[in-house]
This record gives sequence, structure tokens and C-alpha cells, in this order.
Amino acid sequence: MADEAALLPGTLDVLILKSVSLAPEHGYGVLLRIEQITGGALLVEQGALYPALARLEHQGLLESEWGTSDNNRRAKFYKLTAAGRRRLKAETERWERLATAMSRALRAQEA
Amino acid sequence: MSLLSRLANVFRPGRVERALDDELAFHIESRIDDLVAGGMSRADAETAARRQFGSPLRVRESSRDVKLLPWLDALARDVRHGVRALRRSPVFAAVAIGTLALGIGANTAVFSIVNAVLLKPLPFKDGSRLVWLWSTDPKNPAARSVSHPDFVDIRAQSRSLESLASWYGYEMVLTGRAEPQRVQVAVVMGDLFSVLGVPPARGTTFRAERPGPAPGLPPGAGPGQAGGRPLGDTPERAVVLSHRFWAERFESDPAIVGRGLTLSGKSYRVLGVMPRGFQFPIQTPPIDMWAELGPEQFADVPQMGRSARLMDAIGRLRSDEAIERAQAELDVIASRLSRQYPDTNAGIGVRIVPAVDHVAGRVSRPLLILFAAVACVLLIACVNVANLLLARATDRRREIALRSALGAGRARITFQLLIESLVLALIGGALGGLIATWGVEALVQLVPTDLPRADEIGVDRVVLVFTVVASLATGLIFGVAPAWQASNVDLTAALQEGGRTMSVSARAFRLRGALVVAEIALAVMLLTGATLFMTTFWRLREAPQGFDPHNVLSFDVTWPWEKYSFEQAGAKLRELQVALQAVPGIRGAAGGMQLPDRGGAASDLLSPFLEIEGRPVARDARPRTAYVPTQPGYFRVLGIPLVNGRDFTDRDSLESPRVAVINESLARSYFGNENPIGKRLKLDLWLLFGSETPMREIVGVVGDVTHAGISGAARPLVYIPFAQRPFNISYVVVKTDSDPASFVPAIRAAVRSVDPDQPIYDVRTLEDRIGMSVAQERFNALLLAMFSGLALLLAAIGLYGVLSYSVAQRTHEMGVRLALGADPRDVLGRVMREGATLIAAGLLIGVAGATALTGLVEGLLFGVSPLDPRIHLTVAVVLMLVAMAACWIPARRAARVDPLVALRYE
Repeated sequence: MADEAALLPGTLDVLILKSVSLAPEHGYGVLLRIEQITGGALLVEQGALYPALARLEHQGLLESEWGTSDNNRRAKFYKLTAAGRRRLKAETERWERLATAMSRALRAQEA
Repeated sequence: MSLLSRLANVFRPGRVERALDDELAFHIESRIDDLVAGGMSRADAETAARRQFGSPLRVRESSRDVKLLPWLDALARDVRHGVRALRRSPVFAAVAIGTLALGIGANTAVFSIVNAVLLKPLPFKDGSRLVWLWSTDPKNPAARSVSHPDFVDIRAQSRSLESLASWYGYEMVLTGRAEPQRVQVAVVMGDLFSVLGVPPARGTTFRAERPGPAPGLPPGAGPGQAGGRPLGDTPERAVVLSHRFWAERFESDPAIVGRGLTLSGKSYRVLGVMPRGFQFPIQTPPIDMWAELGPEQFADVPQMGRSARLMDAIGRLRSDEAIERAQAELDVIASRLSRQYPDTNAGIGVRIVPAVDHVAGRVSRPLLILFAAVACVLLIACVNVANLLLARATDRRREIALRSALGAGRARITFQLLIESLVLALIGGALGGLIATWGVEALVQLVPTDLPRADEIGVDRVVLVFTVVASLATGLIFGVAPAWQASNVDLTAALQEGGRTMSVSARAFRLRGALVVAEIALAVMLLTGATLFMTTFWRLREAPQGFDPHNVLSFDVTWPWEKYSFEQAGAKLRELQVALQAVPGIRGAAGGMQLPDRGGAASDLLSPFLEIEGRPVARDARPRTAYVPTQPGYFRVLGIPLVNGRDFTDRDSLESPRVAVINESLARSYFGNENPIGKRLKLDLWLLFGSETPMREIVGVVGDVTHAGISGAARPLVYIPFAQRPFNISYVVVKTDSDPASFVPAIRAAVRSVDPDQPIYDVRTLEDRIGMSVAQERFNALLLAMFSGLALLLAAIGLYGVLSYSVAQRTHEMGVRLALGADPRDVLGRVMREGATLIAAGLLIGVAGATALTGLVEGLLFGVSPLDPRIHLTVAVVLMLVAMAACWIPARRAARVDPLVALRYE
């Protein structure tokens, strides 16, 4: 478990937005996708996922619909709203800048 | 998520939670599927999946918080908690809610009257822009009318008034197929209906400036038909009917417009019908129809016209005009008129006030006093509930300490307790609203019949808003102090005390004592007011009236002057007198222009100047006096004593020398110890007597008649023979041997024998009439008595509550005292003294308050001074008796404490 990093605060929202940006996804799917995207490097605490989904929906970044899952169960599917898409783009840029700045700073120290 | 759906979530948390549960269940089941697919056993997979997920409850809670407005959710929780807390102590809840329901209900009921009479805008378009207009005369400050020529000039010159109309009330007799009927007519000058902004429901109304003769001058407005006004019988005369009259008399005949009517012997055409509920001017009896006064009516007598200030006027301000600017402009116009017509207009101003104020003017102060009184009752109810809450808070100290120990902040606990108060207040308010809807109906039966706009009284939206606001305010008032006090708990002390009887904190007890003092003081003030108004009412009822109303019936008969000259009307009245006196059982009958309880003319404008022979007085300095034309026998029928000289006889006619009878007041004021018999006086007012102002010899002196009503002290009064100043309007008084009501058919028959087209109306016994004249005072006294009784009861309950609580708290102390040999009487005395201190403090403050507020009731009282020590003494005694009774019960309980039982409490 040592290589599983805990989520930085504020990252969960971006990851959720990212994982539903390709196709509508239910909560469990979001969880799997985040693990898949990050190559299992980031583990989402399951209890934090649903409050985050509810919060994003409340903020109007996600909208939801009940549908049928692959395993033929009733599931709630989330998808991005236009506002969610804008937020994802903005957040992605912010993360990229942050990541660049971070790696520069780290490299500078090494040098 | 929209605010609406979040609001909705607060009220149906179940639905949100079910959806969340479904979603979480799906998650767990999918995880189990995957684990099983990975080779785990089903049971292990389930355990793992659930463990991984953590507490579903916590997930649910934190997910839900997002979906609900958290504070609203907390509020809903507090409300539910409050309701539960109240349900746990049903007696407390019932007492508190009942007290509040009475208080709020009484307030709502009185407010519904205040709202209808004082607050509701007049039911006309843009009622706030309507202004009442009149000429001010420093010599007649009560006058509220305008003359026709002044009205025409003001209307022509004013820029700030968009339109202006005037009218006077008039009565006519409608004849035709049905029984002859007297109708109330407003004779209108100018386009009244467009000033008010109300179009007719059918047909049309008068076109502005449409020429046409008016049906008549107001009674007494001119020296008979000699006034020089030709009365052509043209088909141009027109009337507009009120909806009510159209429905009652013509059964809502759709073909009414264009039909002809015969009014007082002349024909009129119906132009239109006003909409249902339209009433203007607002009066009792209501207006049946409006007729038009053409512009030429007064034109030929301009000199008379300008001083004949007999018309009411209403105008509409331009939309951009402030009333102050309009008043400034009218002041300029008035001073111009004063310069132009110094004879009639010197010193005469013009005044406008918002029409709604004018309509309510006379009744607003008594109503506001009643409203203040009922608000005091509510305040006392608040104090009582606050006291109950304080007592309860002491009992709930452990609960509060526990919540506080578990981390609830002081603000949170205060808020929670306040919510409980608001729940109480709102339940009380809802019940109060119900009480009010019934109470208003009862109240409407009680209100004086001449209360303006009484038919608009009812519980409407504004009244309901008032109830809700009053309930919330009530909840805050009685809730804040107890909640703040209760939330201030000393944790360790409260929790350590455990189940032991807790002693009341001295501070809480002092607060409760202060509240009781406050409510006693309020009750004293209310009681004082009620006693004053009740005394006024009783004094008015039993005031020596100077006449004997027993077995006297009076009615009103009008000889339409379109049909009869004044002389002919006088002859008709004489015929009627003879016919009535021929009826068996009628002891006497006589006509007079007014009833003795009316006290002369309504306005000084119609009171003539008095001159006494041999005492020249400057024209301007002449006093005015009331006068009443009467038929012979009038004094005997009414039992007015003849003090000196003689009554009129049939020989006092138009052909004989003019004579007069004066009352004792006038004899005293003008003749002192001289014998007035044989002296001569003159009554002079062009409006009434024209140029016919002969000297009249005083032939008799009669007793004073005090007039009913507060303004009713006896005034100088001159009686003259009806035959020497005949008139088309008179009241007839009939003295009968037995129940006067049984004579009504015979009286109607006698009137018909004189003129078959003649209706009589306003048939009442004099005793009823006197009762009506004090209706306002009766209403004030009755309501104040009810309110102060309620206040006294509530204050007594409050006092009882505080003392019995104090006794209950100190049962142990009492037990020790008694066990150590204290005399039970001493224990009783201690409690009584405790109560007496509160009572005395409340009484002192209350009397001081009542004394400070005497200005409020000035002018509304009769025969009693607001500073009368007897009043205060009565109030003090009543209050002491009731309050001491309230102390007695807990005091006796204290004295009877069984020391064994009390000590075992430990």
C-alpha cells in the first residue's frame, strides 16, 4: 500500500470531472476509472466519493440520471454539464501549471 | 440543484435518502460482484466491500447536508424538537397556547375594525390621491363644508387639483306603483364619479358641466321658494342609482337605464347604475341615488351662495403633486377670494386633508385607544407565558446543561428555545385567528351603527398578515428573555445537583417578579381606563335629560317642498297633529323640527345670531343660539317642565305677533334674575330667515334639556312656533298610554289620511333613540371592560403562578420552619407579604402610568375626571382583592406543608 498516495485536497473533484468527461458514469464506475487513470497510484476513499458527487451535482457541474448498468442493475449515471466542462478545462490548466512549477522547483533543488 | 428543490428536500428528507441508499447499494453490490469475479467467496466479498466502504450512515449524512439548506434543516429539526417538547408537557402547552390565542384573537378582532375604518384605502381608484376640501372659518372651527360659488372658483383656479366635485345630502320621496319610499339622494356638482375614478356598471353618469336643474337646496338653505329660483319641469333631470337600490327597488331590472322616475312629484330619467358596493358619501342610511346640480343653480343668488357653506367637496390631486404644495396653492386662492369678497370670505381659508383621514376622523381616537388596550392585554399574555417559560426553563436545566456539555453553543441553545417559543406563538396565533373570525362577527353587532365603513369590517388578507406578524412578535417578546436566561447554565452545578430539588436562582426569580409587577401595572392602567369609560357611559345614561322619554314614540316626516310650500307643509303638519290626537290611547302629539336630544343644528352655520332688544351689540360680536320650531303641546308630550309663562297655542300663527319660548340656560345667561317674560329678542340668519327677522316676544321659559352624547351640556335654546316658521321637515313626538310600538299602524294610517304619498320613517321610541346616541360610549365601555377583565385575570394568574412556584421550590424550607416550631400563620404571612410587595409595586407603577396617560382620553369622557381619586381607589381595591385571592391559595398551601413530607424530599 506504500505506493498508493492519498489524494491531495481538491484533487478528487478534478478527477471525478475528468472520469465522467468521456462518457456518463455511475459512482462505482467513477471509482474504478480514477484508479485506472492513475494506474492505481491514487486511491479514492470510497466514503468521500458520494459526498463529492453530490457536492458537484449541487454546484451544477454534474447532472445525473438513473439508468441500467452493465451488470443490469439500476444505477445513477453522472455526466458533465457545460459548466462542468469549463471547470474541468480550467482545473486541468491549473494543475498543469502547478505540476510544471513543482517539477521545476524540485529539479532546481536537485541541480 | 435549484433552491426550490432543496427547500423541497427539507420537507421530504425520506425521498432524498432513499435515492442515496439505492446509489450506495448499487456501489456495494458492484464491488461484491467484482470481488467474487476475482475469486473471493460471496460472504468474504460482502464483508470486504462493506468494510471498504466505511459507515454508510456517515456517508449518507454528509451527502445529504449538501442537498439541504443546512440551517433550514436545523430549523426544521428545532421545530420538530419544539413540538415534541411541548407534547411532553401538555398542561404547560395548553395554558400557554390558550393565553396566547385569547390575546392574539382579541388583537386580530380589534385590528380588523381598525383596518377597515382607518387603514384600508378608500375603495376608489388611487384613493390616496383623494382629498377632502372645505372652507375654514375661525368662528366655526368644526365646520367642514364649502359654498357653491367658492367651490366653482376654487375648481377653476386650482392647478394642483386634477378634478373637484361637491355634493350635499338630500331626501326625496319616490312614488310610483309601489309604496311611497323616502330615498337618500346626493345632489352632485361636478363629475363626482370621475373624481373617484369609478365608472358606472350600467349606462352612463353625468357628463361634466351638463346643465340641468337640481332637485332642491338642502333643507333650510333658503327662505322658502321665494329664493328666486325658477323650478322648470324639464325632462333634463337625471339620476344615477346605487346598485343596492336598483336591486331592492327595481329587482335589478336590466331595462332600468332610460326609465323615468317620479321623485317628490317631479320626473327624472335614470342615466345609469353604479357598481355593486359603490358607496359615496359613506353615510347611514346609505345613499340610494345621485342627482345632478347644474352650474346655474346658485348663480342667481351669488350673495347668498357664497356664505352658504353647506356642500361637501372631494378632489383628486394631480399625480405629481404633494398635498402640501396643493395646500399652499389653495391658501393663495383663499386669500384672493377673501380680498375679492370681503363680506362673505374675510378670514375664510381652504383646507384639504387626505380623504381617508377625513372619513375616519371622529372615531379614530377611541378606536386607537381600544387598540392600545387590546395590545396591552396581549403584552400581559406575553408576560404570563414568559413567566411560564422561565419556570419551565428552571425545570429543564439538566436537559440544557446536558446539551451544552455535548457541545451545543449558547447561541444554538438560545435559538432552540426561541424556536420553541415561536412554535407556541404560531399555534396560539392560528387559534387566535379562528377566535377572531368568530369574534369579529360578534363585534360587528356591537359597533355603533354610525361607525363609518363598518360594513367593510372582516378578516381579510391584511388582517391575517397582522395576525402572523403579531404572533411572531409575541413569540419573540415572551421568548427572548427566558431563552437567554435559560441558556446561561452553570454546567457543573446543574449536572452535579443531579436529581436533587434545585433552588431557583435568585436572578431568575427577580426577573419573574419584575414581570409580574409589569403585568399588574398594565392591568391597573387598563382597569382605570375601563372604569373611566364605564362611568362615562353610566353618567350619560342617567344624566338628567330634562325630559321624560317613557312611552314616547318619535318619527320623521318630510313634506317634499317640490310639492308643498313651507306654509303648506306647516298646515299639513297641523292636520297630522289633529289626526294623531284623535287616535284613542294617544295622549298628545306634536311636531318639532328637531328632537330634544339633538341639541339644535348640527353645525353652528345653521344657528342664527341672537339679538336682545335694547342691548345693541356689534354685528360681528353677536352670539349664536340654537333654535327649534315646535308645535303647541311639544313640551307637554316630552315632559319638559314649563317654568314660567305659557306654551305656544294655535293662536300663534303667521298672522299673529311673533313669539318665542326660551330655555332656562338662555334665561340665566342673558337675563339673570330679571323676568324674561315680555322681553323681546331677534333671530337673524339670512340663510334661515331671509330678511324676515322680526322681534319675538318671550312668552315662556322651559326647563333645560341636556343632550345625549358627550358634547351634551345644556345650551341656550330658543323655541319658536312651528306655524310662524313652517318647514318641510319635522320630527313628530307622540305620547301614548301603553307600549308605544303598538301604535305604529295607527300612526301610519293617520299620516296616510293627511297625504297618501307620504312615508314615515325613523320610527323609534325615544328610549331607543337615547340608547343609540350613546352607542359609541357603550361600545368603548363594553370592550374596555372586557379587555381589562381579561387583563386582570391574566395578571392574577401570573401572580398565582409565580407565588405557587416559589412555594413549591421552598417546600423544604417551609418544612424546616414548621418542624422547628414556626406558626403556620407566620409561614402564610411570609408568602402573602411576598405577594403584597409585588402587588404594591405594580399598583404604584400602574397608577402613575394611568395618570400620565390621561391626555389620551381627554374629551372622550363625560361626568368623570381622569384624575378622580375615587376611580383610582376603586381600581386599587378591585385589583387588591383579586390579587390577594391569587396569593392566598399558594400561601395556604405553604402553611399546610407537612414537615415530614417536606423533609423526606431530601
